[in-house]
Amino acid sequence: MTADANKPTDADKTNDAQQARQDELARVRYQAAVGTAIVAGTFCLLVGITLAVAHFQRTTVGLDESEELNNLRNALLKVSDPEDRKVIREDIRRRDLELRQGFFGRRAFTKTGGYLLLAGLVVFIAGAGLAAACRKRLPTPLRADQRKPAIGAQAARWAVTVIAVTLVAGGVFVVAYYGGAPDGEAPDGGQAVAVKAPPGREEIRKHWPRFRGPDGSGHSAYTNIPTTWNGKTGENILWKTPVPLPGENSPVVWGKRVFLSGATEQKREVYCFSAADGKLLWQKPVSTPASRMTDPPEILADTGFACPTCATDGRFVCAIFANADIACFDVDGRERWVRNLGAFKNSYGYASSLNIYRSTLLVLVDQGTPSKPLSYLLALDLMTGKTAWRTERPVSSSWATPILAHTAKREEFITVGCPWVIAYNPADGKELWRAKVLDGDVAPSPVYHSGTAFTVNTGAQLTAIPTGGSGDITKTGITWTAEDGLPDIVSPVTDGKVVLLVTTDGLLTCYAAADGKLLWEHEIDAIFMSSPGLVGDKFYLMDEKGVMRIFITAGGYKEVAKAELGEKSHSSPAFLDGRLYLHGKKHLFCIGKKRTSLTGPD
Amino acid sequence: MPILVALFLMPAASALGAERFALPKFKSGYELPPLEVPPAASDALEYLDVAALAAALALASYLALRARSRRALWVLMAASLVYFGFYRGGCICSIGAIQNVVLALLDNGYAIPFTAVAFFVIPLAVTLLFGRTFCAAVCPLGALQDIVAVRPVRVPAWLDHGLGLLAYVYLGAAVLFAATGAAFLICEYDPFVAIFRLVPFTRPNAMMEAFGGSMGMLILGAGFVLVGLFIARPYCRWLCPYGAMLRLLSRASKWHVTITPDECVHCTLCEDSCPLGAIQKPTTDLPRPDRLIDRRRLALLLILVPLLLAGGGCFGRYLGEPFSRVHFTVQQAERVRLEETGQITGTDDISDAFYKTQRPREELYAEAGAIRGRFDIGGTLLGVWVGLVVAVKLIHLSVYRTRTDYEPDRATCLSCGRCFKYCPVERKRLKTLKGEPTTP
Ligand code: SF4
Repeated sequence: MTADANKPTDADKTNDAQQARQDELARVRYQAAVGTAIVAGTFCLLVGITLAVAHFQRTTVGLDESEELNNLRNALLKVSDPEDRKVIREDIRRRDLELRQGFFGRRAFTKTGGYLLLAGLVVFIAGAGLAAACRKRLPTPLRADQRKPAIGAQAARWAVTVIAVTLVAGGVFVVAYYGGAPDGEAPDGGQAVAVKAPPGREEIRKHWPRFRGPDGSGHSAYTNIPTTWNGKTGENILWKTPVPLPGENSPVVWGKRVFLSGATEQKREVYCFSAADGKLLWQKPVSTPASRMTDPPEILADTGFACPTCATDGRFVCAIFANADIACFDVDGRERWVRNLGAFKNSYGYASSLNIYRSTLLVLVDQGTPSKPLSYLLALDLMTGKTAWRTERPVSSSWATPILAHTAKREEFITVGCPWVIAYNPADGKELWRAKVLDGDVAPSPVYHSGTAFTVNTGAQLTAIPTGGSGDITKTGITWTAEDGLPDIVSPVTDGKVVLLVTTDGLLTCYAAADGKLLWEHEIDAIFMSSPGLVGDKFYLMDEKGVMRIFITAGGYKEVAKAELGEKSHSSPAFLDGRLYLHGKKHLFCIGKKRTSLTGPD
Repeated sequence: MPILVALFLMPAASALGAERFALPKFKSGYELPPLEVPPAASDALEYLDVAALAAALALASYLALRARSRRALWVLMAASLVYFGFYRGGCICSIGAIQNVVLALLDNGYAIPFTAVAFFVIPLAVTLLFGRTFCAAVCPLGALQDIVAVRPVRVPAWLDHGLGLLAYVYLGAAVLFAATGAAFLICEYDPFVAIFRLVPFTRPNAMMEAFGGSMGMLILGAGFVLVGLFIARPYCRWLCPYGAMLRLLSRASKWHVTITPDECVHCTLCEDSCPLGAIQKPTTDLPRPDRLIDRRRLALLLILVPLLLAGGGCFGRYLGEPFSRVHFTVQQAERVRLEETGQITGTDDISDAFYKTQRPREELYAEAGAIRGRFDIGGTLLGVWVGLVVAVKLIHLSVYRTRTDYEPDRATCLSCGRCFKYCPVERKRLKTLKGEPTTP
């Protein structure tokens, strides 16, 4: 080998130079790629951090999250002065606009950020990918001793086991945190106070759950009701308690609680009294945004703002007022729900009382005129106040209370209005039968006894209608009618043998229930507003001054006793075991012999 | 079918054209903007999707198995990402189609779209023929992860095996929730869909609509992308439920990519080339493990199988109850129940929605009870499934197989073609193709 042989030839030199250029080029390319990746990466990081910080530290809130806006809205509902309302409204508009602008601004910001991030990522990945490609060298073959061992099956089995155990642990976590607490159990683990099932018919009969008692016909389930008392001397008055707000409604009683409602133009309240001593157990206001916003309805002073009687089923008590506020409380006074049915369009004031049927509250809203009736029968879910069903009615305004009749084959919810008596299925509001037998302003409620419903109104007739029919039974299904002594306010009462009518100015007319034969008439010099009750064979009828006349009807009017409340009253009596509850103009009275003890739930 | 679709769309289109309620008039003179009705998606587009899928699969299989071109596969992959990902917003996709199919099988009332069936079935069929070429270059989720995998590190094989379980669990859970009509988990937690929808091709506000501007999904997607820079295709390997199915089918595929186009020369060059760790080494130059120990272990595992299945089933039954709470009806029933029992005062949107239906509560409770019952069964089956997967995996890892060459693991190899260029035999073939001299 000569020295020349080691000397680089020209060709070698060209090759080297070429190689050097290529290496230089590769180096520059690599550096450029790395530089691009670093710049783009930093950019992405900054954009990402900015977006994240903006996301977590956002100062703008959504429309629905703004407490300020909510407060303003609430304030608007409370304020009635037009000037103040205008100011608040302007405030709401301004704040609303700000919030919207903030919200959309934030959205635009996020969107732009997202695009920038995406663009940055594309550049970063391209740069990094290129850099990685520049550095990639094909490997050289490995010597036998350099070779790595095959996968460790043992380690893999362990990994699988560990993952499986982790999954089980995850499952345990899920069960622990998201499992348990099935229906009816409180979230805190304790047993929930599940709402009791609605009471059965037998249970209801022991109480006085609605206007005119369990069947709405004024019948007492007890015969041990006192016949003598005196509100002035205190004779047989177990207790009397002042009722805070006025109301023409009658007491409803369940176990050891007595419920009433009261209202003025401005205020509405529901009361619960202890049956034992008359103590006011609770007193709850009823108010809805709608009622705060609207003017009080125009009513007749005799009707008042709290004329409809409450309804209870021992679990809940519901009350409705002339301004269409309707509320439900549990018997301990916790508000369950409250809503407003929309101003009633009936003159004199709303008067129809409530009725609880299983888990619904049935509300009769008869309004409008004969040419334009706006009436409907409404069933509200007792738990929530949501509408369960609603049936439109072809009648104009009325003031009577429907009754629930347990006929031989089914339950019928019998309503009266002008001009139709209509019976509905209380479960779904489907019409069962109807009869065109009424006219004018219908206020006396229907009564029912042994398969016959009796409806009456002045200007129309007293009608005996057998229940259980279907369709329009005006022409085919009426037993008898009568036209003497028709009342305009006071509801009739029947013991199955006679039907007794009482007019406001004191004319009592007694008909035979079977054939409508007029048995006798009797005049009393008094004004009557409250509806009579029936205890055994004794009729209880109270005049406007609070004088209760107790009489039997066999062979004419025979007065058994006369008792004075000592206070004016329009209320109908509530008969319980050995007791009688009356709502005077100012007081709630419990009348009874001292010995009787209370039964029923607390 | 198109006639049916057209009939179906007709009433919807006319209904959208009119306002349901009279619009208010503003004293200020403000004019309400006209009602905009987005045009109904044309069904031609659906057929285009299916055609594009079939074409892309055919091409991917050709490029991976015949042309053996990583570069061409990359281009196809990028095209799929743009079309199925960004243009079609990641929907419809084969992964999500699992749920449509399951729901259609179990719910007679659910009319499954034709595209969902096609997207579910076609890749499965192609995998049975050519291996996972769908993953290689057609799936937009895979494509996105593949493109961002700039510096993949090798994940230890044992970890890979362990994490591989998750995909089967996810598959089972997705089937359970879809079968019970509770949720489409795969779609709800698709980490990439938020990224796809950042680009407003066909749906200007799709991202905002789908996620209400929430950053959560975007962050999840960004997280996967970041991890994907260093770990190749993390979602495909350890989570993708459709991939779990493809793994099983690919094992039985008629043809499959090979690392070398000819005979393996045991040069070891490809050993570390696969970023997914899908290359299996020959076992011939290593000592055979003790057969007795192997057999004993296998016997033990076989005994364990029924225990794992039973244990999984029992445990799964417990999970049925909390899982059932994902179902809307169960949530609604619980809410209504809480309100009924006075544990919560006031109503919320969920309970209001129920009250509006005016149905009796008992009906809702009964319906929720029936769903819970289905979850009890479903949870049990899910547990059995997971037990089965664990058992099979352990057994699989305990069976000794003899291998003479470097081969891709048919289950985990995605046919991406990265390893081709490492093979000297392949290089020689390419040079021959180009007419270059093959010896230095
Ligand atoms: S083709 Fe090669 S590199 Fe790609 S996944 Fe399969 S074995 Fe790995």
